[in-house]
Formats: sequence, structure tokens, C-alpha cells
Amino acid sequence: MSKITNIVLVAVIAVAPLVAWKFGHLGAEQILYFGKMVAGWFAWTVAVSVVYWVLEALFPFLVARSSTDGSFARTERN
Amino acid sequence: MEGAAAEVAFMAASAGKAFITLMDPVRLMYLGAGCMMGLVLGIIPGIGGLAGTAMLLPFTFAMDPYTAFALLLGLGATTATGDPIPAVLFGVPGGAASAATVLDGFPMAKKGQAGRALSAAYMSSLMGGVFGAFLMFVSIPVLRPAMLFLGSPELLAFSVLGISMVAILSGSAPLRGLAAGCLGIMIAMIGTDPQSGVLRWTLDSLYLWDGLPLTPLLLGVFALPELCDLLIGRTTISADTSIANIYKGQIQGMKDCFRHWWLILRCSWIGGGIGSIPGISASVVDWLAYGHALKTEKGASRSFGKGDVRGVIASESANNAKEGGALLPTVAFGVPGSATMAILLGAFLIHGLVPGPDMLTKHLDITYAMVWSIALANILGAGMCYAFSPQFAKLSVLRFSLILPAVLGIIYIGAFEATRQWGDLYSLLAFGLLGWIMKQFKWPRPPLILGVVLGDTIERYLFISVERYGAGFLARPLVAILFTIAIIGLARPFLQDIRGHGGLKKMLTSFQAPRFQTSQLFTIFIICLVATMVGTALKWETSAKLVPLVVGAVALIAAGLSLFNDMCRRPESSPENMADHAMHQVAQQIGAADQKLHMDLTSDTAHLPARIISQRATRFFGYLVAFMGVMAVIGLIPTVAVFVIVFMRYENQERWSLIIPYTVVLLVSITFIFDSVMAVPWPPTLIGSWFPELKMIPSV
Repeated sequence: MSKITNIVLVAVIAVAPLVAWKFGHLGAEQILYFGKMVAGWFAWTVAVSVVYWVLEALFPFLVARSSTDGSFARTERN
Repeated sequence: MEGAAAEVAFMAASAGKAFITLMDPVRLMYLGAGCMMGLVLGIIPGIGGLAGTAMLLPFTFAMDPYTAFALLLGLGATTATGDPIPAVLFGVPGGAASAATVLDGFPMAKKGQAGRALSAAYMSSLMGGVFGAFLMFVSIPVLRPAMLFLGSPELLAFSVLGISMVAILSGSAPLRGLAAGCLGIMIAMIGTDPQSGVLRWTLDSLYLWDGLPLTPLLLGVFALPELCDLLIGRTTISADTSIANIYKGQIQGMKDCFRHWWLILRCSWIGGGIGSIPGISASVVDWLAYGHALKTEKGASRSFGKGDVRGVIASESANNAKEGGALLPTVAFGVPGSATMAILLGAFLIHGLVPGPDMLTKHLDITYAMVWSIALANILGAGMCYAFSPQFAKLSVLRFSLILPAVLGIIYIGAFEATRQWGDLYSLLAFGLLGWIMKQFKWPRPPLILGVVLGDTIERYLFISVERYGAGFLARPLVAILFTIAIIGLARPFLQDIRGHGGLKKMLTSFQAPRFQTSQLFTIFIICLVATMVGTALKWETSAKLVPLVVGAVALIAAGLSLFNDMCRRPESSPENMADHAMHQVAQQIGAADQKLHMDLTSDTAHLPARIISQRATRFFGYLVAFMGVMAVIGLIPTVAVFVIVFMRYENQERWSLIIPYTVVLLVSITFIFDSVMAVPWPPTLIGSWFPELKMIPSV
């Protein structure tokens, strides 16, 4: 049953753009806009991540981990 | 006879019109979105429907009232439907309303009957929710004729009654509740006085001339403290995430509900009835229903607590029915039946609706649309739960480092929607801090919001009543009755206190030399704040200062007495041995349900040392300030990326392979929903003014 609902979810997500395209709500312009949006935010995310990664490597005592209060949440994870 | 027929025809037409209006696909979509958000918030422990409703409110500005209330009630009505999932699977209630569900739901899951328990919870939630809506539906014809005889003095009396009841039903802190309610009324009076044109407490700021907007205040007081506690407590459910066989036994769970329909009906009645009494919180309703089932069901004393499906059914049907019950006094009298309804009152004002007679005459179709929304939301919510239980179950084990950054970004967007000025964000921060401190020191927050929401109404109706009737309005029968009830409501906790101490004489001798505690600093701060406000008000014209001075004086007396009580009250003698101690604990737990009602969420970080709490809280508010600083330079959406990355790495050392896709999906979703679909106007940025070509980037 769980697999079925997962398949339904994926199908809905996949079919939604097709339906929108069929009824004229989705054209090349929108797809281009969406593609640009994803690429742009991906580039920005990677840029910020690289900066933080470099800072972590250079100043591990400052930004590498939350050591200020002695507890480290990673240990509390599942 | 003809009049009655016309009345019935009018109500039927209004109900029909409301139903047809709500059936519009776009409105249904918003209702469904509200349900989905309600379920998610119900499932994730730590945020809850209260904060969720506050977060959604700003995004309803541009909607018509039908759509707005469909979205808000969709969320409010289904929070209680989703919260049995973590309660049953992991023994951790998603919200206060499902605390009793744990008692039988979790043992059932241990016995391999998780599917049956969840199914029974969904079905009883559905039945209870629909019953609550039905209760409101049948109450409207009864209330309508009576409402037509209400004038401004009666509406004033209802508003005063509402504030007095909520303030007094503030758990074990009635004085704090009263002081908070009065402070709320004073906050509502910030801005230009409509009668005299006097600028009241505007601090020479143009932003405050029109008064403080409700949205940042609500988000600050209710949403930010939950997020802060999430960071402090680092909430995550340490449990086996295996959710196999969650569908097994679902049919049996449904059958259980139909077999115990009479129990569902009784518990729904308890939920709806108790929910309509202002001031009684959700956390009490499920216990009362559970207690009722325990007393009345055959063999319950032996099987309850060990995995009896009737325990799940009782609490779940009651906590969903309470929503319909709570809506009734909110719509009819402007007296909110719950903390969420206090926020909903704000939605009324935002959409130009005045709770009271108008809602049962001129806007009856909107009222019926609310009833339909609650009924449909419960059906949709239960349907979604049946279909997506395993997916929802996974949500309840999300780490704080995944939840917090996404929610915080949405809160900033929502707060800025109020007046689209930076002042909104400063208000958010200031009230966030105030709300968190109030929560930590067990100052009830709903009276503050209620004061803000009803403050304007009280002053307006008081002005009209005095202008129209003079002091004679106090002699009107209903006004006199309502004021008497309000006074009794105010006096009752003090009388109980006297009785609890064995008489006035004993109570007066139970004081000691003043003892100072850190928590008293906040009360001293409130006293100083109110005293400064009252001092400023003394210089105003009589008409502008009358209400502020009266309310300020009451706030000062209440806060002063609360401080005196805290400092000088001799602590109650502690039990001498372990057995006495255990008896005391049990008595306290039993008594808590009907005596110490706390109309607010309590902080669950009390187990941590004060040093850790203050360090983590400082870090949280430091994040907020830094967020605003970076946002002023590069814009909101790019700041979300910076914040998510820093937060996830610094706070929880998340893997880059999770951080990067998570951030990209979040940014794309925010851009799509708020920039492309909702066309939210963004705050101006420095980088945008330096390099205008960068303004093509959303929010820069």
C-alpha cells in the first residue's frame, strides 16, 4: 500500500506539468524560467557552501561545529 | 409562522450559497492546502496549529473571506487529526491535544496494532470533527434571533467578558493573565486616537501612527518562541523509524469506530461543548473525554492504558469536535473559544468582518462557509491520513535542523506582508523575544493577543455606548449580567485561593519576607513598561487617555500583586516521604485537568540547565538579527540560502549531500510560491540599489 501511494504521488507530480502544458498554462517560456530559476539558485547555494566549507577548513574553532554549549545535536539524531 | 418560514428559507439559502461558494476548485485547493499544512504541523512535534495559523494569516490578505477561512480553518481543524501519528507510533504526542491518545495508542502499536489504532484515531477524528461542525450548524438558528437585540453596550460587555474569562482562565497565573490582557489592550491603542487625533505611544515613529500591525505581533508571540524552543530542546524523536505494517488493521480500526458510535457521540459532545466555553484549552478536552470513557465504559478500568482502542477513540473524537465548538462564541460574540480562535479573530479584522450580530445576519453565508470548511477539512484530513500514513510518519522524525530554517524564512516573508516596512520585522523580533520570555516564565500569551484584538473594539463600543446612553448603559439587563459574570470570573480564582489556604486570615498570614528570583525580573520589567506608558498617557486629552489610564492602572495592580505574591508567598509545604510525594503527584495530575487550566503551550525545555537555555536562546535571537542584517544587503531569498547552510552545518553538522539539494528545493519553492504565484513585494536591498541590474533576481 505504501508503495502504491508513493507511485501515486510521483505520478501526480509527473502528470501535473503535462496537464498544465495540455491546457496551455505551461509553455517553453515557463520551462525556461523554471530552468533558470533552478540553475541560478543551485549556483548560489554551491557558492555559499564553498565559502562556508573554506571557512570551516580555515577556522575550525570558529565555524566548524556548535561547541559553545557542550552539546552536539548530531548525537541526538536517529 | 410566515416569519419563521422566511427565517428558515434565508438560513437554508445562506447555507446553500456558502456550500456552492466553497465548492469552487480554487477554494477547495486552498482548503486542501490548509489541511495538508495542518496535518504536517500536527505530526511534527514542536510547532503546532497555533503557530501555524499565525504563520498562514499574512498570506490571506489578498484572498476573499471564504478562501481565507477555508485555508485557516483547514489548518486549524486538521492539526488534531495528524497528531496521533507520532503519539501512536512513537509515544510522543504531536500536540497537546493528543496527549491522552498516547496512553492506549502506543501500547496498541507495541502489540502490533498500530494500523488499527491509527485508523480508529482518523475515523473518530473525522466523526468528531463533523459533529463539531454540526453543533455549530444547529446553534446558529438558536442564536440568530437573540443576536438581533444586541446593541453596542452588550457587545462591549461581551468583549469585556471575553477578556476577563481568558485572562482569568490562565492556569495558575490569573494575575499574570490579567496583566497580559491589559498590556494587550494598551498595545492595541498604540497609534492615532480616532476620536481626538492624539498620537498615543508612537515613539515619534511614522510606522506606529496607524498602530502596530497584528501579523508580526502574532508571529512574534506565537511562532518564534516555538522555533526558539525547537533549537533549545533540539527536538527530535529518538525512536525506531520502522513503520512497517502501518496499513495492517485499518479496516478493523474503522469497524471499531462504528461499533463504539455512542462513545464517539458522547465524547464529541464533550469536545464540542467544552470547546465552546472560552478559555478551556485543547489540552484539557482530550483528558476529560478520556476520563469520561474510563468512568463509563465497561471494563475500562482494567483495559485502559494497556492498549484499548476505546481510549484512542474517546480522546481523538473529542479533540476534533472542539474546533466547531470553539468557533461558535468566536463568531457570535467575538469571544474566542481557544487560543487559535484568538488568532482567527485577527483574521476577521483583517478581512473587515466584525464578530457578533453581523456574522449571523449580513455575513451569515461566510459563517456557514466556516462550518462547511470545518466539516470538509475533517473529511479531507482523515482521507489524507488514510492514504499517506507512512509518508506522514516519516515527517514526525524530522530533525530540528531541517524544520527550523525553512519555517523561519516563511515567517519573515509573512511578517513583512503586514505593511511591507522594515518596522514589521523589528516588531517581529521584539514580540518574538517578548513571547519567548512569557512562555519561559509561564506568562499566558493568548490574553495578550486577545487584548490586542479586542482592545480597539472595547474602546470603540465604550465610546459609542457612553455617547449614546451615558452611564445608563450599565443598567441594561444583559450588560449588567455580563459585567457581573466578568467580575465573578475575575474574583473566582482569588476566592479559590483564599479557600485553598483555609480562609482569608490564614492566607494573609502565609506571607514571608521577600525572596528574589530571576523570573521576577520580567514582572518588574512589565511593571516599569506599563508605568512608563501610563506616565506618558497622563499628558493626553481626557478622551484619549481615559481608557489607557484605566487599563494601565488595572495592569499595574495585577502585575504588582503577582510580583508581591511571587516574592512574599510562603512556599507550600512539601510532602515528607516518598509515598506522600507520589500521592501528591497523582493528585496534582488529576487536579490539573479541571483546576489548573493553562491556556497556552508550556515550554518543554525545563529539563535543561538555565545556562544552556540562555546560551541557545541568545544564539537563536542572534540568528534572527543576523538574518535581518544580511537580508538588508542581499535580499530575503538569497539570505535563506546563507541561513540554511550556516544553520545546518553549524548546529547539526549535516552532510553537504543533504544541505545542497535541501537548500535548492527550498529556494525554488519559496521563489515559485511567493514570487511567481503570490507576487509578494520584497523589501528593498542595498545591493539592489547599488547594482540595479541585480534586481532581476527575486527579492534582491
